Amino acid sequence: MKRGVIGSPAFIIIFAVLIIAVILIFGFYLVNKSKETAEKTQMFNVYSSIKNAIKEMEELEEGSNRKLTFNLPAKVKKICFLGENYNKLNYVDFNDYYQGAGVYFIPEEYYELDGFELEKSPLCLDVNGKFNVNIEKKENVIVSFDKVSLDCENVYYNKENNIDVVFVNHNFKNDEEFIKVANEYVQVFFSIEPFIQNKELFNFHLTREKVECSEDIYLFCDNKEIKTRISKCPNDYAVVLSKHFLPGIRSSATDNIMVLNTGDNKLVLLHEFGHVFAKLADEYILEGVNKVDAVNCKGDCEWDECFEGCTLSSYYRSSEDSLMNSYGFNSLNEYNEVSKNEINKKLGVYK
Amino acid sequence: MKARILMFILLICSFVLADDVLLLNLHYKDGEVSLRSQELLKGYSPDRMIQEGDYDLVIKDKGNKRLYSFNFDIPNKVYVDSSEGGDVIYLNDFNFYLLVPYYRDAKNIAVVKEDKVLSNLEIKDEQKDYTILYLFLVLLLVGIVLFFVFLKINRNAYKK
Repeated sequence: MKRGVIGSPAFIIIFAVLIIAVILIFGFYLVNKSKETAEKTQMFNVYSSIKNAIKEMEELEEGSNRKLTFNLPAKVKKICFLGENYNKLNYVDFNDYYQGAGVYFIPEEYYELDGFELEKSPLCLDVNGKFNVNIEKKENVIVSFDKVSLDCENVYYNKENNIDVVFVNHNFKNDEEFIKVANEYVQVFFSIEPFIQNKELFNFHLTREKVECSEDIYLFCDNKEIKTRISKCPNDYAVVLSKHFLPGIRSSATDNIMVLNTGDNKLVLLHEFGHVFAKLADEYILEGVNKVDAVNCKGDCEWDECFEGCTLSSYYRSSEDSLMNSYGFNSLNEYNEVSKNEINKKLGVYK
Repeated sequence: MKARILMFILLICSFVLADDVLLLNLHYKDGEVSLRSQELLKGYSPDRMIQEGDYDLVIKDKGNKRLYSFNFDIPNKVYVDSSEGGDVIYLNDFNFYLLVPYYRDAKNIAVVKEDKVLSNLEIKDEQKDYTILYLFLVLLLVGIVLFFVFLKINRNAYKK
């Protein structure tokens, strides 16, 4: 190709259009892929919660039951439970999906599930997002659909008397998006130790009713509204999700409340949870703070290795980097051993 | 018909048996903490398995018997963070709220620090007294059952 053609305005325009097209196609692909992943996470969380509730019931006495309310992505049109005693001849409609006993999110996913009985099999329900399920211990564990819809909805359920975390909506106009993002935070939460090993100690719920928050330099919400909203669910901690596209406005943590800017890296949840759950301090230097009382920041070096600067410049931290120091790109993105031990100590109360 | 009556009774029972919790409004200023008000809600309160803090919240009955208590800290420290850095903000004049279980026999709620009562609040009588509500529901139930019985008797008489 001659240099004159390459440098011509027509070529530059065509080249620019091509690049823009490639970026757009790639961007569209990424958005779609991320949406698909989020939906799969949501379906998996629902399946895991039902599985956990069945397991919980197996160990409880007859007459015990759990009524749970869940959400499924809009593309799931029907949920079906299928028991072992399925006769293909009787259910021609269902045969296209048949993969064995389990739970079916039609037309999307199938998960193997056992340890339950049904009054009829398959047990199907047309869903439009929200559905209610009743898991009851009789002679065996019985799964059925329930008509009573709860104000509190389950994102990830394990068992009663766990550490209950409730997501609250600040400004998501679309409930479906709020639910999807809440599911993503649960996935991130369970991707970090010591929570990977202690998944069974947590329940995550959500309540759709919104709360008022101020959005100046940092996010701060009406404490009374939050407490009123979370009272609808079993609650130990609240996570208010505030929808933003950029990380500029800071997230906050006080009392048992975390308010998160969803434009920031999702690991902010783990950093704030460190503050409210284990009373961990920031492992970087803060101006205008004159005292710190936390296990992860000490005035004298108490560990094999110490690094200067832990809230106060004169205090020490036990690792160069950790989730209480920084999170996101170019960060270690895990708690250090001191923080993990403290979190484990608190988790131990629930074991 | 019997099933409908039974469902209605169960619905009323479930309404009555749902948990009650109190939402307590506390105020903090210049190191002083005070209990300001209370609101009765249907729902849940935290299990408070992890107890930390310099302050005690104590709920007592008429006989001064301790029904419930837990430790708490004043939430005057707000961590503000982003992936680009963070800060701590100290609040000095603010309201905060605590969810606590509701006890029918409760008479008094107090905030205590080092055995010294800093503030207390009487439980409102109108919140405590469920007798009228129970009586109303029982009467309502009896009325409905009588209505259906009367309806059935009437229908049988009509058939004859």
